[in-house]
Amino acid sequence: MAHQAHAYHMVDPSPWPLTGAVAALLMTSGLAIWMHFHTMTLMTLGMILLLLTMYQWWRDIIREGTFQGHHTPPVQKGLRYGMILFITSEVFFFLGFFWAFYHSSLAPTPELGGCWPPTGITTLDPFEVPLLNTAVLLASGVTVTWAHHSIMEGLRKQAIQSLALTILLGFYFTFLQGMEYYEAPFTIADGVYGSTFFVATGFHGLHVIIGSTFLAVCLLRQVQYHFTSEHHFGFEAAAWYWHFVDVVWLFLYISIYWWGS
Amino acid sequence: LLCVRADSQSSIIIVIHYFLFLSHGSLKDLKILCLYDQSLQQLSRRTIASSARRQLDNTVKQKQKLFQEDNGMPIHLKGGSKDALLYRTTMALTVFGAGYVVYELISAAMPKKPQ
Repeated sequence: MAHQAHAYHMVDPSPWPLTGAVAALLMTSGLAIWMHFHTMTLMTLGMILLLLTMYQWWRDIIREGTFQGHHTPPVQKGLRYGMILFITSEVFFFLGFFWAFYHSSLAPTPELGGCWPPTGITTLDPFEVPLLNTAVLLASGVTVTWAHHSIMEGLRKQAIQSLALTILLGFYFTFLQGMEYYEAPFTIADGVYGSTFFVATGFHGLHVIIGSTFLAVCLLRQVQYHFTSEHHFGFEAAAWYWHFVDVVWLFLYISIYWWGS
Repeated sequence: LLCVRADSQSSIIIVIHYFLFLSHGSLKDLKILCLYDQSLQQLSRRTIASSARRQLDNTVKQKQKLFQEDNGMPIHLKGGSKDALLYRTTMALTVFGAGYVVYELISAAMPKKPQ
């Protein structure tokens, strides 16, 4: 069996980049077909293909790292760089929506009544459910840090409990935000206020769901003894992503919910 | 009853008495069932505990052996037949989807003239 004379990871040929690319093609074309012809088949097929791709691709990464030992220190360094760069790109994604919000709210047009919030908009009280949501996410930041320290100290049961608590807090946030969306006195169609509110908070909510899913996968892996006290980068990446989601909420809360009311 | 794999003899006797009780409504069968219920509880507690322990067992070493076997299989198929099934399904959807999207886009580009 040939052995490599370096510490890097030359991956096996994989079909998942191709299936992922086709999934993206199907989802985007499917979106256009849905909008014009009212059939969701193509878009749904694309989403199924995306889920299959994500499951198998990340399953393979877990196999390569945990079961084959390919994630040496230099490889792990590359994974860290990768996650940091990805989160940075997400920061820029949200920056755009904050730009849109401040563009419209700092100089409100006569069509809005020359004021912010615009005439006719009943804003949500920032000291009710939004404040609770802030507390929930901040608490989840504490519990995920608790989980990290538990993993580093080899405390298996505590790590499982604190990670589970973090995920529950994430679900609680999503539930509360869902209720707020249902009860809100304005919709996405209510001018630029509605657009900026629901697009910014909506994408944030999607990221909470993604982050909760990432943490849930980490919980499953922790239960299955994948993480050691020295090597648990999958968990660290999930925790970084979760802190990013929390920080985005804090900016949303201060800008849109509080200042914007 | 489904939990009691460890002691199949007593489980058969329990099933027999259960059906006897159902069909005859006899108190004797019920008494026997109650006696077995105690021992069954102990059995199931032991069995559930041991099966729960089995679920949380550390299988990382076995997985490491499986995925480090020198069989030339790529990582996405190295897990066995389940991998191959999932791969074939995904690829089938990919090929079908690629063809379907080309068909849909071409037909969208040629609108039907109204009569």
